[in-house]
Amino acid sequence: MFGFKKNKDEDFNLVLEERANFLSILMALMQLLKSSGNNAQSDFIHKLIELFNQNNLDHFVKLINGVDMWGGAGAVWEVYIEDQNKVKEFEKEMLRLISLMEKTKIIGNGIKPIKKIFEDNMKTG
Amino acid sequence: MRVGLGGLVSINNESGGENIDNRNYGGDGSGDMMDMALRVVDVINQFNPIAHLMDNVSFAFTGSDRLGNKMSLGDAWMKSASVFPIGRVGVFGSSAAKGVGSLKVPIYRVYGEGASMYGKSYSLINPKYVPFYRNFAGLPNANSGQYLLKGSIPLRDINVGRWFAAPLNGNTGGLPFELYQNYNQLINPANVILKKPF
Repeated sequence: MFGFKKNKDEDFNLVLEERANFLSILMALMQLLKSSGNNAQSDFIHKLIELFNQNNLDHFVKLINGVDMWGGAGAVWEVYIEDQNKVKEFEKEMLRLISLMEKTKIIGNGIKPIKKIFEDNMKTG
Repeated sequence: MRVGLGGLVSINNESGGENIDNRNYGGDGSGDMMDMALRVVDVINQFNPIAHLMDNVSFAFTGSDRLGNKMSLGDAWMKSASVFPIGRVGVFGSSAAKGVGSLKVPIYRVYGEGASMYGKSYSLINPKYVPFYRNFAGLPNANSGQYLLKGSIPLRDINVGRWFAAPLNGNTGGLPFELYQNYNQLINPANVILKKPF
């Protein structure tokens, strides 16, 4: 009403510019989760991809910042993957996703500590 | 001035005997057996940590050692170093830290259905004492909350992922000490099936 709230279409321009990157990261994550038996998390990522493809970016941004992605036990970020090569691949993709969320200014609260965990894991190998 | 045992020099004065570096040694400077013994004891006490400790206690109250010799702060530090040698402080400190670090603390994970037992997110807080645990801990929809995994972990291995569960879209968050651990770090893990899922 007073112009405090930005136009959402304008906000999502950055996200749309990075469409290809978002989709490639999400596809990679979905496959890694599926192949490691984390089906619920894989289905969630599939839902995100669908929302993106439908241009339902408002809902997409809500979900990608939500409990299913970054919450407690059972969230995407904290899944158990047995194969260490896949773990590295997964953490690399998660870091790419966080960076992209930062770049497109859609990142919410509580995600940066997780970024640090992944960065530390990558350093220690 | 008199020369006594071991070449120590004493000066007779009213307050008592002094040795070559003008320190009071507790004797009267007479050179008798008792005076000589006190001189010897004083020389030995220059290397005695217990005497240094007593000197430091005396210094704290009077500014002088136990025999009335003026001490500087530097002297006090030197004597403290002999009472608590740095190497020994290190050994004591590290063994105390080891003791504290090996204390085992219980940690918890609520899981079920889409949330596996082996994930990385744990809590230091026992969920049964937290009303609306799902909301405060930020459990995702994939987690049915039917099972509780409890184990313990040495304090030194605790890895705090987030100090508080994040207030993400869909939950309040705020549960303190969200840990990031591996299942294989747990000591005596045990599962409980919950009658009333979280």
